[in-house]
Amino acid sequence: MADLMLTPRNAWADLTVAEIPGATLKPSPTRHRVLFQARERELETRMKAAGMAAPPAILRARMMDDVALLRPGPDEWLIVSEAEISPKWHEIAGPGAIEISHGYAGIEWCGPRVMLALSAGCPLDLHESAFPVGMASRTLYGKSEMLLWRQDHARFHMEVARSYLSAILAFFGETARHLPQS
Amino acid sequence: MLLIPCPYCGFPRPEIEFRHAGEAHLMRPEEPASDEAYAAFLYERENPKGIAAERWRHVHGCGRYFNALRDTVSDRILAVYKPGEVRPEVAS
Repeated sequence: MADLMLTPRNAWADLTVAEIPGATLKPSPTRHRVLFQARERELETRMKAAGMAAPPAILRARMMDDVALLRPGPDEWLIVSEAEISPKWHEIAGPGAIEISHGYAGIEWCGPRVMLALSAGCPLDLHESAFPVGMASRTLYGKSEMLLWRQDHARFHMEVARSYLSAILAFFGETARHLPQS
Repeated sequence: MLLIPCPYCGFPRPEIEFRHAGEAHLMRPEEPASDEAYAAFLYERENPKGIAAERWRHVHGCGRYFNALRDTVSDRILAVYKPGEVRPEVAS
């Protein structure tokens, strides 16, 4: 019993994903997340001391070594990684950092019609002139808050609180019924 | 949908991402203060017909509070500015 309670349940367990031709949605392999607050200048100093490049601008994401550093707000930073986040990054994040790996789920959106499917629930303009590759911002999908990061023209990464995952997938399923077939 | 330019994000964002957070520039009375001064701080609001200074929070975005000047007649956002900055002059 103790083992069951200690092992985090997969956020995707018991959930089904609708199929939309041209817009695929699947679990992201990112499993580790650390959220922290820091002033840009302080963080830049800390990162330079560790021999790293400068942190990204506001509403941008940057791949740094094996992790992605996202900046959804002026002083807010999110480290997202597939592998365990190294002690080096924990040191940069500082003592106030919050480990939120198990509270969130990553979704990968890709396919030629992914913008159409996302736009059905997201109020932001997702055209590349307004939401370019590398941009990452917190916004809404349906009624669920999420963090959207454009990794490529037709590939998005979405971070959602795992309790919202079922609502997101349900909304995606609803979109499937209303999108034009071709 | 109303577009609100967030001074932190730097460009207009949809209204649905924001929460209204009451009148801006309310100052807690300095101690010792009378009951009347506290009552005014807590309850008395300008509620103008015309330009109102309001706090807004970009809750489903960068999460920051900021101030906005909104025309309550036309519902247009005339200016946005960060907390601590001086209220800009605008023509209605």
